[in-house]
Amino acid sequence: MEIYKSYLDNIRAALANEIQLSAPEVMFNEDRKRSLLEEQKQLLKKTKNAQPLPSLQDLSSDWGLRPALNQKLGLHPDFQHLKYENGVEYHYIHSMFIDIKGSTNLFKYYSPLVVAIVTNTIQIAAIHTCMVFGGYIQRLHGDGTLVYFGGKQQTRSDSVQRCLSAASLFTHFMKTDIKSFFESRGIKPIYTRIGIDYGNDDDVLWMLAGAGEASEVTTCSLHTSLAPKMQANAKGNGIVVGDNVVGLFPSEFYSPVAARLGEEHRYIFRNQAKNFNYTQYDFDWETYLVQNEHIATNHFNGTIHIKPRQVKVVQPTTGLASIAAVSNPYYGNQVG
Amino acid sequence: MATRLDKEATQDFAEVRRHFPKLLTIALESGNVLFEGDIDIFDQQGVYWNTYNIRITVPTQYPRGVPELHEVSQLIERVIDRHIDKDGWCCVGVSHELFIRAHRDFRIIDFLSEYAYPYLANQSYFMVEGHFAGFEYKHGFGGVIQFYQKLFKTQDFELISKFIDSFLHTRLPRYRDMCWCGSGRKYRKCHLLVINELKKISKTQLKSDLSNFQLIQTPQVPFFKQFRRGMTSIVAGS
Ligand SMILES: [Zn+2]
Ligand SMILES: [Zn+2]
Repeated sequence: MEIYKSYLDNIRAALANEIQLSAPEVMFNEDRKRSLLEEQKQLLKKTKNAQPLPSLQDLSSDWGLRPALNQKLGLHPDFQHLKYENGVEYHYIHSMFIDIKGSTNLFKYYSPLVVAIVTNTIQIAAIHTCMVFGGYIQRLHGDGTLVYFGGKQQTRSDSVQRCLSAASLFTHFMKTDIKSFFESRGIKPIYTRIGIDYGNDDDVLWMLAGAGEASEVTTCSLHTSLAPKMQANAKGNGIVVGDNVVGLFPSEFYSPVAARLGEEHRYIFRNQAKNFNYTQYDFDWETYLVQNEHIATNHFNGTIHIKPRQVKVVQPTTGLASIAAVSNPYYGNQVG
Repeated sequence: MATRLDKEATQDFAEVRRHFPKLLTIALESGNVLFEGDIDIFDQQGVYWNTYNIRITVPTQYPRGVPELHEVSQLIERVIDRHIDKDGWCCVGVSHELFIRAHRDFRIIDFLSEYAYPYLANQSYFMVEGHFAGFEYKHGFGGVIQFYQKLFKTQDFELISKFIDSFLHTRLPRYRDMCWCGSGRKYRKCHLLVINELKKISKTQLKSDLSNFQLIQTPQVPFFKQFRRGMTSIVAGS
């Protein structure tokens, strides 16, 4: 997708750089080697940019979003007062756990610096996508990322859609651009797995965990804990969501994980004493995306595009003319 | 619809959905089926242009019969020069041509790719260029004439009417006769192929077209007479 172009370019540049480094004429040219390694370090730095790269910035303007870009990990702006009060508060939240899988395999082919550029770029692409959709990055666990959606400025129904849209777009990027990028180089592609759950006002406790500098404002909730667990049950480039998401946003896009993994995987959590059974569902993000009002599908090749808010008037009509000229319209009163 | 056709239709509709994910099938209580939703216009370079909200009526005798396209989003100005009526009914082609096309199976996906999508792409083209990209038929009977001229590969009204008239009265040439068009070829190898297409158009339509043709050919006579009379008066006045 065009929106992830700058991220993919970054990865492409790192790999091209690596190929040059292994060329015989460079191996014995210390100056050239140093400058290529310096370029790699710069590429890694570029991935650390707090702002979405230019291609992804288009997304927020086309989708009409106001991204939350200035973030501090572990200090959700709606609940940061808890850090100073050391208090607690109940408030709904969507928890999303994004994992990036298959990066270990890359060490077979690339130096640690290049692997770092690849995995970082992908993780940052996930983070930026979430930020653009108003998500809040809570915590990084190696290749995993915990993100919250919602809070006091957003309604539950808005934030569930934003959360699902962010997860779907990022997964689409992994399943198309990233997948074909690595496959074309004969390398098993990196992929993502995502788990999402919603906890309502009664079920999510916000509090300060840890102490002093080693502390974060975080949630204590079954539904935050379930997000990484459901992530582990997702298929490659798949999204699994909990019962509460289905309840909040009912649609035709869910099917019980049990249909894929067997009956013993129907529930992600059970409390038999209370007769509480919590179902997990595969989320059909591909259908969800193509049905989205902001997405246009090219019927010639099935690729999806973010609809621009305004079509550029200057685009040349040559590509349109050949399709349009097939039509020989008519106006008559003898309608069939 | 028979069960076998129902199954075929279901497969066809699923294919439409695969290509156009925002077109939803709606089964009406009357038993008729509609498609409603969005069509995104992309060009051959993969450039996105715009999105039309449309409705397609599936004929009851599906996969035979001619589907109809309505533009609901009102992006197309409702003037006849845009080949659309005030209710958004889109004139994707001359009805004769569509009936000939529907003589064999006319699947919705084919209607979309052969007619609806090019028509809408052409409208997007018009919005930028101020004119359509390809040939457009004249309005009213003028377009029907153009259709027959294309079909018969001749401009000659008289020859066209002669063929239609003979077809309606089964007084056509014999297969081995020389063709009336003067090509020097046998009828069997010449306009018989066109006559076979006429069979796919309803006789009522052909009869009405024939009388329209005759109306057009005749005006020249009174006009000429008028001219002669004018000449006479000039001569008389001198
Ligand atoms: Zn028309
Ligand atoms: Zn002939």
